[in-house]
Parts: sequence; structure tokens; C-alpha cells
Amino acid sequence: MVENPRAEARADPLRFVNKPVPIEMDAGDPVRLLIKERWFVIRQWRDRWRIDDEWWRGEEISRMYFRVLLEDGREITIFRDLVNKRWYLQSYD
Amino acid sequence: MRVACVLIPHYAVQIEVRRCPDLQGKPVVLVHSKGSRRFIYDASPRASEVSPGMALSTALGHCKEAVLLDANLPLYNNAANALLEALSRVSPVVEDSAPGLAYVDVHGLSEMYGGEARMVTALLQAVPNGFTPQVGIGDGKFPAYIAATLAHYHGAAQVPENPSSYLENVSVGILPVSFKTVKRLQGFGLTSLGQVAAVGVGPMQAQFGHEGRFMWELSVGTDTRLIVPRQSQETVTEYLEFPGPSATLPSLLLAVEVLLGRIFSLAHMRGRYVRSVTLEGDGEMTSSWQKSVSFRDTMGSKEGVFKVLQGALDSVILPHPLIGLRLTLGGITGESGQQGSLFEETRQRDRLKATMAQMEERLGTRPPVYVVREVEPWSRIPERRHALIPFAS
Repeated sequence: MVENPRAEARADPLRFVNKPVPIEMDAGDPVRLLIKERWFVIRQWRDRWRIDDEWWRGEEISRMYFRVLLEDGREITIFRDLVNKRWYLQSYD
Repeated sequence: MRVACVLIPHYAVQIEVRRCPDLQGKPVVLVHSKGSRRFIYDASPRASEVSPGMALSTALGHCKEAVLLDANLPLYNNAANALLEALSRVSPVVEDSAPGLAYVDVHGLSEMYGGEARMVTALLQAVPNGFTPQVGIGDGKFPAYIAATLAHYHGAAQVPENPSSYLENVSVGILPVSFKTVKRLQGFGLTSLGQVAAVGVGPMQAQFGHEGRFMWELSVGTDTRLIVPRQSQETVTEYLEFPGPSATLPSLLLAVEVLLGRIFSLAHMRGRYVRSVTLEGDGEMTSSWQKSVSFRDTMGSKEGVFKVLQGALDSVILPHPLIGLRLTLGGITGESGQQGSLFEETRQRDRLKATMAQMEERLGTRPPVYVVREVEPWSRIPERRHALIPFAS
């Protein structure tokens, strides 16, 4: 039996890098983050800033970024999406 | 775009029947092994309840009188290449879609052949003897494919002026979309293309997105997909028959040396370089053995190729004694591929290009190598700053 190819030829899309990675936040005491199925305790909140952009496009971007120090000594950047109310991990450098 | 679809149903079985005419009319079932799993590769129409991908045990439950054969994939690949080469002599644009299924761009060819009927005859005649091809002609790949499935053996069918009525009763299972999507369509009670067409493009697009529009267009006989021509590659092949069945490495190496000597002494191979080599050994009763090797740098001498093959074959254990060996050199080029450069960066890029060409040769597809490029480095949104673009060789 000859198989139907079931595939459509198409060009590669542009792949953006440093896309936000969804994480979970446990706002208990201590505050914990679930990143790639592992829990990390936040030891210190070091910085925060907000960006609001592209509200004119109908798909507004509104994020509150936080620079946090984890218990294992690593410093990471996370943000709260103020539109869908979810947490994400993303480098901002 | 006028397209001809050349379809050879049960292609692998037809190859086996062509090789051994005694199998004609018998319920032939070809079995392929992957690790410890044995599943069906192809089955003749006589074994009607057996389908490709089915586990062997299930297939035997459906067809107890099945004549089981080991699938000989190298043989089927060679036959498929021969078929595509033959079709390329009718039209320069031929797409290798699947084993036994090719699309041919026939736009403007009917004038050259003196009419569409003569052009179809040329296509049917191009198919090697022993096969039962079915040709479909239509404005697009999908209508042509449907026409081919409805054509008689050694015959052709053409999509009429109004393709919708032609496609009305065709099952949605024939659409070139995933099995999951077909199941979803059936879940909505859409089992034929006529039903999909009746739903309308809006609801289809709302439910299935881009794929919905694509399916609706196919259901009304519109297919805008282009033919992707196969890249023909220059190869040279030589064959040697052993005096008796042989399974030892020294005799294999000796045969390789003889075959390489023959190829590199050909006049048109002078000053040419090769990028890959494929060895295919024929067993007496069993399927073929195959080994492919790609070179890091192009090779232009018998000694160079032999040295690499010697290393590659060192740990090979032949599954069965061989009665013949076929050696094919591929990726033939007129360049040695090595040149010094004043600029180290350019040279590194050249080396990367050469490595990618080697990987492409080995994998059969373009390696997923990307370059990070700045898009909007000033953007406040981090994911907009950089993007990956395919490395252009």
C-alpha cells in the first residue's frame, strides 16, 4: 500500500530566542518557584521594574519583572504577566 | 498548474512479484524488523485485511495463508530511484512523494507530446516493465492523486471540469493531514469530502485553523501546493558477483578494492571527487545488506576511499553470506573542497559549510544548524531582540 505523504512543504518560520518559560509561584512562606519540575526557594527580592508596550496593537504587553536571589545562590529574572496573571522565567540581560 | 500523479499501488509487493513471478496472485506480506518488533511493510491486495504498520502477529491472525517475505528496503529504494529517473526523462520536474508515488509537472508538455493522451502514454511507458501504474491528471497534486487512485491499472483518469462532484464521495481518510485530524473530522460526522465542502470554509477554518482552510480547499478540488522537484544526484555504480557465498571481511574488502578500481579507472571519473559511498550486498535467499559512509572531505582517489571504507567495515558483522556486492559513489563533484585562506573567519565558515554538507549527505536532510541574529536589539521585550535563522551554506 502506498502511503499518503500527509505533509505540506512550508518555509521555516523565524525562531525568536529567549522566549518566556512558564513557571509556577507558591506564595507561601517561604515563597517558592517551580521551574522545570523542581522547587526553588526565593531568598531575596533584589530589583523590580515594569514594562508596558504594544497596547496600540490590541495584544498589550504588560509585565512586572523581578530580579530574585535563589537559595542555591543563583540570581534569576522572573516576571508576572499582568494580562494573563501567570509567572514566567526570562533572562533580561 | 497541470500535474500528473503516477501511482503504483503496493509498490514493494509489485517489486517482489517482478523478481519472483511465482508470487503472482498470492497473499504476499512483506515484514520489516525494527529492534525486536516485527511489523508489516506492505501487503498484496489478496491479503486485504492486512495493512502496513500492523504487528506481524495481528496480520497472521487476519491472513493465515500469507506468504511472508523479509522487506528488502535497499532493493525498493533502488527501484524507486530508477522509476523517478525514468519519469525525469518525460518531465524535468518530478517530486518524489513516497515509494511508488510521484508527482510530475506536466504544464505545457501536452503540446510537446502532441496531446494530453500521448503525454500520458509517455508517462505510462516510462514506468519500468512489470509494474501496474495508475496515472491521474488534474490541476494540482491532490486532484491528480484522487484521479490516480480511481484510474484502472495501466490506465489514466482525468479530473473533470467540475472537480467538486468528482470528489464528493471520496473518504476524508485520503486527505494529506494527520491521522488525528482525520479522526476529529470523523468525530464531527464529516466522513466524505462532499460533507467537508458543504460545511464551508469559514466554519472549517474556525474549527481547524489553517489546516481547516487547507482541507476545505482540497475538498473542492483546489490544491495550490507546488511540486518540490527531487534533487538528482550524479552517482556511479559497479556490481561484482562472488564466485560463491561469502561472509568474511577479507573477501568483502577485496571486492570493494576491485569495484573502486573499476570506478576510478572510468574516463569520466578523472579529476572528480566523491562525497559518499554505499555498499549493498545481495544475499542468496534473504534480503540485502547495506552500509553507507560519508566522507569529511571529498575524496579523489581509490586509495583514499578504500582506506576510509577499511576502517568503517572493520567492525561490521555480515548478517548472511553475500553472493554479490554493489558499490555506489555519490556526491560526485569536480572540486577537492580544500583551499587555504588568508582570513581565518572565512575559513572557519567554509569548514562549517563542508561539515554541514557531510551531515546532509549522511542524514539525508538539512541539518538543523542556526545562527543567532539581532532583530530588535533595542527592544524592551527580551524575546524580540534576537532570532535564529537557518545557516546559509
